[in-house]
Amino acid sequence: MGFRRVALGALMITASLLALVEPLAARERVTPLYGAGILSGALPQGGHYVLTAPSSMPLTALELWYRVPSIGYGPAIHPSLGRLAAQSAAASSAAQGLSLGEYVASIGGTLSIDVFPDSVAITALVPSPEADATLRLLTGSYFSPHITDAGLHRAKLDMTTEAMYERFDPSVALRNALFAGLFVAGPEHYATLDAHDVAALDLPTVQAFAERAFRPQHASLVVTGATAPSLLTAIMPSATITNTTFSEQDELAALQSTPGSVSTPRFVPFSQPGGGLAWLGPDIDDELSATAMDFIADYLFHPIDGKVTRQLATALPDVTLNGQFITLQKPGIFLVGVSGPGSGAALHQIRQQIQALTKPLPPDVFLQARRAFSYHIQSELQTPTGLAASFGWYATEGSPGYAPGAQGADSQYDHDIAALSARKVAEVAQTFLQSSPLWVTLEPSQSIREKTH
Amino acid sequence: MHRRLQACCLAWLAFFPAAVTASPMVPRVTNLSLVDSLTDGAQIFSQADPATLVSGIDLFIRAGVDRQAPHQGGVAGLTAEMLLDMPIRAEPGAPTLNDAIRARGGSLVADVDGQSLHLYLEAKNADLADEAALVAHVLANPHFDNGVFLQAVTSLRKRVAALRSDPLVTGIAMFRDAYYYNSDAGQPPLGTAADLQKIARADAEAFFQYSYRRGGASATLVGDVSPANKAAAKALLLSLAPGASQPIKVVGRQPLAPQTSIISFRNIPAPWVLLGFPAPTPGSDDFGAMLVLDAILQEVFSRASTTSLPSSQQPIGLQYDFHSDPANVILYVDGSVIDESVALRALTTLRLALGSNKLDSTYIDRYKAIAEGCYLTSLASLPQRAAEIDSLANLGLGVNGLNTVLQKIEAVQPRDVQRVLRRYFDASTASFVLPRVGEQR
Repeated sequence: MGFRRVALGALMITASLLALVEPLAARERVTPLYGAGILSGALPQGGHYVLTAPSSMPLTALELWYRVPSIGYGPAIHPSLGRLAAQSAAASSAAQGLSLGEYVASIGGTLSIDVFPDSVAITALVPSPEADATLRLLTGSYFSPHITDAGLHRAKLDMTTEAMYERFDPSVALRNALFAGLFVAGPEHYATLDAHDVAALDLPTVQAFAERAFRPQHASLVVTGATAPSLLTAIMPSATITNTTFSEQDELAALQSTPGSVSTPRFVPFSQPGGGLAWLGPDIDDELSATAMDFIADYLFHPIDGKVTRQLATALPDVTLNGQFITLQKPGIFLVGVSGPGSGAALHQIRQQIQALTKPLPPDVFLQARRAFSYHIQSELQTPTGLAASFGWYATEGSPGYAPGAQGADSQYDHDIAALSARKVAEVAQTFLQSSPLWVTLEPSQSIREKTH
Repeated sequence: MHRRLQACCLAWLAFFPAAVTASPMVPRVTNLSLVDSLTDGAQIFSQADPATLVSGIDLFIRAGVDRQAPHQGGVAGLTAEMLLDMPIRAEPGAPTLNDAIRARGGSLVADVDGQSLHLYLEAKNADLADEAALVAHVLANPHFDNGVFLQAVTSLRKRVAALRSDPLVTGIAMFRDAYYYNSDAGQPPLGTAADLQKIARADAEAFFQYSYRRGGASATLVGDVSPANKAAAKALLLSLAPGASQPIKVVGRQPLAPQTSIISFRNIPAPWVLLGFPAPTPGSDDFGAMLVLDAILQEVFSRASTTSLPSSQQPIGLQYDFHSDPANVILYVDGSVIDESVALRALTTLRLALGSNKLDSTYIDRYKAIAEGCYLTSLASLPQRAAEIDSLANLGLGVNGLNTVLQKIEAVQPRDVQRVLRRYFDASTASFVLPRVGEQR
C-alpha cells in the first residue's frame, strides 16, 4: 500500500514538473542520465540544461559552463582573452540596468568565474527568491553578450588586481609552469591570466570572442539547490545575430593542445622555494583509469586525510602541498606541487610514495582508502555549487554520465570506485606514473633562467 | 588605493537614498525540527535535506575557553584535540578515534570557541549512525594517556606557531582578551606557546570531567534524518555525563577605559589596525539592524570587484562575532594595502552621514536584501548549517533560529539602523599590530 502511494505520488510529481516547463516544448525529460527527479534537456537554441530536485535551504546555484579555448580562436594568441571576455560580460550592464556582478552583489549572493584552458564556468549562488531574476540576467549576459566600455574597464581593473595576487601564489606559478612544460602548443600551454595581455586587448576583440564563445549552443546550464521547474522559463533566448558560420572542425581544433616531451626540468624564479611534478594521464573516456587516478590523488594528497599530507604535516610542517588529477577529454593531467622551506625533500618523498603505488596496496589499507575516497567525493557534492560544478565539469568535458552525483549515490562514478581493486590501481600507476614526470622548481631568485640537465 | 576608498565612500554617500528594488520575497529555511528534549536541558534538532548524499551531526557542548581557569590557558583546545587522538579501545595498537572515522569514510572536526565546543561528525547517509556510535563510545570512555597528551600538545604547538604570525588573528586575540575581561572567553582557543609549556595531562582530564556535560548541550542532525541517525544523535548526547558546568569567573581584571589602544609587534611589513566594538547577540532587538549595518559597512569598505573576493584579498573588512555573549564586531585594515588613517576617517565620515541624515526605507531595503543573502550563503554547507542551528538555539532563538534571523533582518526600519549605530559604534577598543623595528615599510 505504502509503496503504491509513493509510486503514484512520484508519477504525479513528474507529470506536474513536465507541465510546468511547457515553454521548453517537450525537449526536456526526467532523464535517467542524472537520476530520479532531476530534469535535463536541450536549451531552446542548443546547449543543454540540468535542474536538480529541490533542497531545504533557500539557496540556488546557477552555473553556466562553456567549452571554449581560453586563448581565443586564433590565429593570434591572447592568453587572457577567455577570462577577460567572461569577466567583461559579467561586468557589463544593459541600458539602465545592473550588470550580473552588480545584481548578484545587491542581493548578497556570490559570483565566481573560473577559467580553465578549455572551459569557462560562471557561478552565481543566490537566495532562491532571486533565482529567476539571476537566471534571466545570467543567460542574457552570456547568450547575448554586449560588452560595454565600462564593463571592459571594470574587468581589466579586476584582472590586474588578481594578477598581482597571483604573482605571489606559488600554486599558480607551479600550475602555469607545469602546463607550459607538458604542452608545447594550444590553450593548455598558456596561463589564463597575463597582465600585459589584459592591458593590450581591445573592445572589438573581446566582443567578437564573447559572441562566438558564449553562444547558447555551447552552453551547459546547471541549476541546483532550491529549484523549481518554473525557473526554466527565465532562460533568455540569444539575441546575438552572427552571419558567420563557424565550422565545428575549426572550433575543435582551437581547443586542442599538443603534448610535448616531459624530460626537461624547468626552473622558475619565485619569491619562495617550491616545486612540482606532472604526468599526462588517461582520457576521460577511460573511466576506470581516470577514477583510479582520482583515487591515487585522494589517497596521497587529500588536504586533510592524504597519506603524504599527514606525513608532511609532521616532518615538514612549513611545506604547503597540493595534488590532484584533472579529468580532461584528452589527456588528463596528474600534478602535485609543494611550496615553502623543505620543498625539495618533500618532492622526493612524494616521488617515492607515488612509485610505491605501482605495487598493490595491502588489502585492508586499500579498502579503507577506497571507503575514504568514496566519502570525500560525496561530501564535495553537499553544497549547491559543489554539485553544480560536478555536473558542469563533466558535461563540458563530454561525459555527463560520469559526473559524481549523477544518479545520486548510485552513480556511474560510484560504480567505478566499487570496481577499483588494489591491483587495478597499481596497473594504472604503472601505466601513467612510472615514467619520469615533468619537474618544475621554484627558485627564490631574481634572474629568469632555464636549466637543463 | 586610499583615494579609491575615499571616492567609494563619497560615491556611496551620494547614492543614498536612491530607490532600489527590494527583495520580492523573504527566503525561508524549511524542514527544521526539534526532535527530542532530554534531561539537563539537552536538545536534539534536525534539518532534513533530501538532496545530500552525506549527513552530519553537530554536537554542541559548553566546553569552551570560558570553562578553563586563568592558569589553564589552552586546556579547552588541548582537550578537544586529545579527544580526536584517543584510542577507540583500551588495547595496544587500537586506532585513534580520528583514524577509525577516517578509515570508515567520514570526518570528525572539533572547533573550540569562547563559550562552546562544536564536534562535527560527517559520513555517508548510511554510515553516520555507526560512526556516531564510535564517537559516543569514546566520549563515555575517554583515555587520557600520556601518548595521546604528547601527540596533541605537539600538534597544537605547530598550529599556535602558525597562527601567531597572522596579524589579523593577533589583533583579534588582543581585542578579545581585553573585551572579555571577566572570564577566559577571550583567550585564544588553542592557548599560547607559553600556555602549552605549563599545561599537564591531568589538566585536560579534569577539564573534560568538569565541562563535557549534557547540561546546555545539543545535537543537530542535518541531511538524512532517518530514525537510526536521530537515535545516533541522541546517543551522542547521552554519552555525556549528566549535570552542567559553569563559566569560571575571573576576578580582579577591569574593563579597559574607552578609546584605549593595545599594541603588539610582529614580523610584518606594515601595520594592521583593528577597531573592536560591542555588538548585540541574536536575541536582541538590535540584532537585525546590526546585520543590516554590517552589510552597509561591508559594501562601503570592501574592494570593488565584479566577482566575489576571498577574505585573503580583502585588505579591509568587518567580522561580526554574534555567537559569543556578549557579541562584538571588529573593523580591520591591512596597512600594507590601505592607508589606515584614511580608512578610519572614512568610518567617521560614514558614521556622521548615517547618523545625521534621514534614511529612506527603500535604501535600507537594499541592504536588508544583502544582509539576508550574505547570511544564507554563509550556510551553504552542512557543517556551517548544523553549527548555526545549534548556536542560535543555545542563544535562545529555538529550533527555528535561522528563520528568526531572516525575520529580524526583514523587520528592520531606518531608525533601527541609526539607533544601533549610536548605541554600539561610539567607543572602540583599538588594536595595533605593528612591524618590529627594521620591518617597517
